[in-house]
Amino acid sequence: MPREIITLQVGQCGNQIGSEFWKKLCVEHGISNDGILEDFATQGGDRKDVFFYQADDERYIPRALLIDLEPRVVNAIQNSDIRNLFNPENVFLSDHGGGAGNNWASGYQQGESVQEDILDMIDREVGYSDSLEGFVLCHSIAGGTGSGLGSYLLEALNDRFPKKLIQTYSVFPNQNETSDVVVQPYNSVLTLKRLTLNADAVVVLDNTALNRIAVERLHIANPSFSQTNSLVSTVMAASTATLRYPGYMNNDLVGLVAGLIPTPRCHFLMTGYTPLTVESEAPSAPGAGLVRKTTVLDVMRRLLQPKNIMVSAHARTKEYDRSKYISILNIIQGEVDPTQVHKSLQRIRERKLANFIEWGPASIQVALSRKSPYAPSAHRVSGLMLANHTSIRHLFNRTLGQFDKLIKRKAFIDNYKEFPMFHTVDGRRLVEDLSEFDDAREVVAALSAESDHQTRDGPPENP
Amino acid sequence: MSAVNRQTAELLQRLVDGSLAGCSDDSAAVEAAARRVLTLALKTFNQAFAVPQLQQDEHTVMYNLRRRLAQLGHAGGAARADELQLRLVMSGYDPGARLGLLSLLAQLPTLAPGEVAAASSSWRDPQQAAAPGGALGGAAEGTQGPALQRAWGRGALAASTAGAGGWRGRSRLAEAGPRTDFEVSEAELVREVLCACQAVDGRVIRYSGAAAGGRGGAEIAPEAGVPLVHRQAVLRLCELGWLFRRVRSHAQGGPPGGVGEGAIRRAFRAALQRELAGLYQLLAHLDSLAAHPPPPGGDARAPYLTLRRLEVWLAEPTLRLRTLAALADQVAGLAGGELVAATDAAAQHGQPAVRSTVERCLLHAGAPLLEMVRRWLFEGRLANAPGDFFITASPDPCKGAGALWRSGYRLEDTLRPPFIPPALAHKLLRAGKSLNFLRECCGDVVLAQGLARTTMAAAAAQLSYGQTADLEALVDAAAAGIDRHVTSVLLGKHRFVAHCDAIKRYLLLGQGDFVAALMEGLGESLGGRAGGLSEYTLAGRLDAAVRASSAQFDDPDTLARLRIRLARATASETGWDVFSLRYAVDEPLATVLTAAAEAAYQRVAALLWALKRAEHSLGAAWLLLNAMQRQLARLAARARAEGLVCPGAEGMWAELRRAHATRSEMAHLAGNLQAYLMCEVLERAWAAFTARLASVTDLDGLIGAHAAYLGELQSGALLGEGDAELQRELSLLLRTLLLLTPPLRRLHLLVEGAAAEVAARSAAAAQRTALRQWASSEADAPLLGIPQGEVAEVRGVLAGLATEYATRLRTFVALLPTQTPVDLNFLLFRLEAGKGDAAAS
Repeated sequence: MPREIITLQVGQCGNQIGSEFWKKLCVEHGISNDGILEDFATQGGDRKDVFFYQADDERYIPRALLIDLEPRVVNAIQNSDIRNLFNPENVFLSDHGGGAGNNWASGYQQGESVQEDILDMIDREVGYSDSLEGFVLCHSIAGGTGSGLGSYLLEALNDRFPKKLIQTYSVFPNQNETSDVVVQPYNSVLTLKRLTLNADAVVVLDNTALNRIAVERLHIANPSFSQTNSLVSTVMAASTATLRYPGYMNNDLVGLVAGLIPTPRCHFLMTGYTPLTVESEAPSAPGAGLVRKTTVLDVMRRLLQPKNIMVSAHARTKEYDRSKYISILNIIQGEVDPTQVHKSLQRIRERKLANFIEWGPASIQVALSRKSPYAPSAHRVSGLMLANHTSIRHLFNRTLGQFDKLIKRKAFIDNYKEFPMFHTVDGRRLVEDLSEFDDAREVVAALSAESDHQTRDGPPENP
Repeated sequence: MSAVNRQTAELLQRLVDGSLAGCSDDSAAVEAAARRVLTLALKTFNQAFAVPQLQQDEHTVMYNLRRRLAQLGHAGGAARADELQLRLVMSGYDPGARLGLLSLLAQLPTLAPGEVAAASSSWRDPQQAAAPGGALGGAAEGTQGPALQRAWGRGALAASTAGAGGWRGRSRLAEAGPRTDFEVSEAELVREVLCACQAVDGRVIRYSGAAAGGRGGAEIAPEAGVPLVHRQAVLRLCELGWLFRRVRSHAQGGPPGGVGEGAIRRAFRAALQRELAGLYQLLAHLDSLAAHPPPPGGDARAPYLTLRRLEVWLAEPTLRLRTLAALADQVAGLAGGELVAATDAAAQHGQPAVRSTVERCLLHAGAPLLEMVRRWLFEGRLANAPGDFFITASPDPCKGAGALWRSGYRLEDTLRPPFIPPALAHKLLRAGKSLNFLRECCGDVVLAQGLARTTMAAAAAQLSYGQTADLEALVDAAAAGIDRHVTSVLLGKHRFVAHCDAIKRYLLLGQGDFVAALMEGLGESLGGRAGGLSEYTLAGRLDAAVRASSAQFDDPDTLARLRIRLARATASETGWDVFSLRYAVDEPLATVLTAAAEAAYQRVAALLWALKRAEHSLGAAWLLLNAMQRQLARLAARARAEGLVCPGAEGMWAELRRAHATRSEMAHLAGNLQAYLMCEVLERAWAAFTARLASVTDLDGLIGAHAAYLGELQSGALLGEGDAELQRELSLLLRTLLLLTPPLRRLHLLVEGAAAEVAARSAAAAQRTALRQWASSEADAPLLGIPQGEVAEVRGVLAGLATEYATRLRTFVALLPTQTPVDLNFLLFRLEAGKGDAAAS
């Protein structure tokens, strides 16, 4: 009854951050790139079976499905040093390999057509678990496959596993640079609708903020995807720490996210992390003797600092004073004195470092977790914040704003019109049907409005 | 001849000369001076010669001395030497000192002629030769006597019937009816007295009332004609015989009905015997003296005895025997330990002669006690005889965990001699108990075997009574070693901390994944009636939970100790009420983790379980809410696609929102209570416990540290003594948290029903489309959707629950500050965080 979690990594971005995540897990659990437990790691009190299962030959195999509509990224993974880690049967590549062309509709449509294959794979994977807790979807919301196919999968999972929990790690596009994907706003809004309606919890990974952090905090001039992905994998690993290193509380996904989400739809969580380093930097830290001493208060204070929060500055700074925390969960890993937690909470409250909503019970929850003894780190203590903050609506608003600009001119609508969801057949002519766009926009706008309302008064009544 | 001896002889000579100068006429002054000299000389000799010549035998020395003197032509000197030895014997000097003095005398003849002459002049001087005895006797009569009598009177209060008064009374009785027609000669009377002094009936003096346990006094045979002047003297002298008989009766066997014969009692008897043997020796010599006829012309030097001389001879031994008899009477019937204690008390006496006599006995009687201390301290073994030792094994050793340490041995304060202070006795008790604990509970005999061979044990064998400081140092050292070993055995070999940690992880739910797995596995079985539970099934679930969690990598020994316990169930109880986990420990750990400790853990664990269950249930509620919400979204999408209207679906959102709010309030309570218990209670207490363990030096300390840990746990978990009302409120509060899921399940069924209806309708439409018919037909009845009546019913239940919860929470929080001495700011802070702002606004 390990409360297993199956990871679905969909699309280019999803597979990239997914594979980084698995690399990280392997290091933390002392599992080699081939899935074999290292000799030094046989005595851990950790739980590997939440994310891995053991094959007949004792190899640890990730409970992961690698799904993409074009082979490039998955092939790269299959030629990398972790090529033997995944179960080859769990790789799905579409037959034609043409991808979704950054078109949500294409991804969604292809998802519909290959759903049987994918659901078969999922069923088989579910069969490997004793008491499946839920699914984790890794994807980006701006592209074609991750957003479109991902959206389809969310709906399909809802139908097939209505009682299982669905969490996503959703990468939001970098809004500071002009993307080559001009239809990003369409894709984002369409995906956001599914994330709102068909997921239980969404961990927002804002590429804008990730880039800023890489530039400003890590002093990398032109951060590569692999560098920002390393940040993402760090966050993902940390957010699952309490599942993998069981302690007194927060030992399953429900326990982890339930406290964060007190209303039905506002389940978009922002993250903060400290200390921020990229993977390659940690071992080069000069000497193990310089391990920094960090107190619980230090960690909790830093986690509340805007510069460590992985949602774009725009979303945070606008009306920042008015925005409020609905809930905060701090996962602190490493050697900390549990008796310090209370003192730190008190200090933070005295100094009003965190602004909470007034219409419900809200406070900082702290989960203490062990740190992997195998992963080298220059820091004795690290912290991850998962927070439900009303300022997240600005992220939606901005996306909506861009969406509105495009839809007003019906720009690039033709790309979508060819897919059944966006047209009606009038005789032999395809007539564009934008009701899905409108519906999606409505859902996202309602979400934003609800979030705004929560900032001020309380949970709104019917949307 | 060594230079030292020569010097000593010279010094002696000078001392004698100096003391006698200017007082050659006054015999009293001469006697006093001679007494001083003798005392000094004896002291000096004792110090200088006692040790090296111990190997020699007193009789050999005397024999040599006599032979030398004969060789030197001093035939009279031999007799004097005998007499002097006698005086030494009777004056109570210990054999070593006597031997030293006699050895010096024996060596004197071999000194240089001048020195010999000087040294031996004192022997030739008739006045001086007579002086020591006279001086001693005089002193005994004049000063020591009355002092002793006073002391005697005090000391003998306890044994008043047998004391001097008793003797006096009897002797007066015996005086009745004297006859004067038959004059018994004084020499005969002397022999009679000597007989009487050895408790033998003579012709003239007999003991009466032998039936009264030898307590009868001596009396002069009525037919014997004893002059009145002698009568008094004889009766006075016969006190010694009476005392002798008393002491002998004590020395030979206890009074009827006395306690069992212990080593201490035997040693005390032996000490009495030894004293009596000295007396025998004296009496034997006196017997031989009595054979000499009184010299014509009254040569004072000549060895002969008269009654008066006999009085002088016997004065001191009489006093000594009085002391002994009083002591023996006083301690008769006392157990060994009390005997030592009483003797020790008697030794606290201002009169040196009494003290030295009693201390001599104490030394002998205390020796077995010290041996017992040694055996207890180094071997952990107790004396066989009851009442000897101040540490006793519990008469009725109740079997069970920890019994040996807690009730196996105890201190008997009445048996503890005053020279062992209570703190030392406690230390001794713990040390020996530790040895037994090691042997019986830990199966560890290495230390006990090793200890007996250490130098400390050897040193302990050398101890004699009264060396408290030495004993204390020794006990301290040995006890420290034993305590160190015991703690290291418990903490090291028996992994005490690991077991406590296992209890913390499994019973106190620190191992979250195991708990979750167990909760999952047990959920079905425990939800029902408690009566039908099978312990066997539950144990299987426990095993499964271990296998399913990372607990499987734990030490098999630890896992094997994890058991299921089912309390006796009443009809209304569910499985959750009677189920608990237990962690079985055996000796030696059971000495610390007692049944009481287990019960305390149980209480804390029960609260934690209730909380965990509430959390689990609230988690399920959250999942249900989310599932409904997602299903509603799918339902709405599908209905719209099919152009259907599902009544009631939209209205569900409000229900979900309200239920979400209630749930989140409840989860906030459950989460913060758990966080409080984990961070502020469990971890805090654990940190303090491990810190305390680091400085623990003995098993008592270890038990204390653990008890303190448990105490902190209980008071922190609101399970203290006076928290009954708070506990009841808390358990009611936690029960309300469990009530949220059932109505949500009902709602969920409704939503699922509606979803199924829409799915069926949509499937039918698809089928018709496939048959090229209209997807929807007029014949289709409108969808039933989600029945509003039932929703309203559930809404009522949920609203009632929310109200009940709020009330209970208020009651609980209101009870918090007043009801408990524990600092609950932590908890209040956590519960009020976020609410304070609301209250302010």
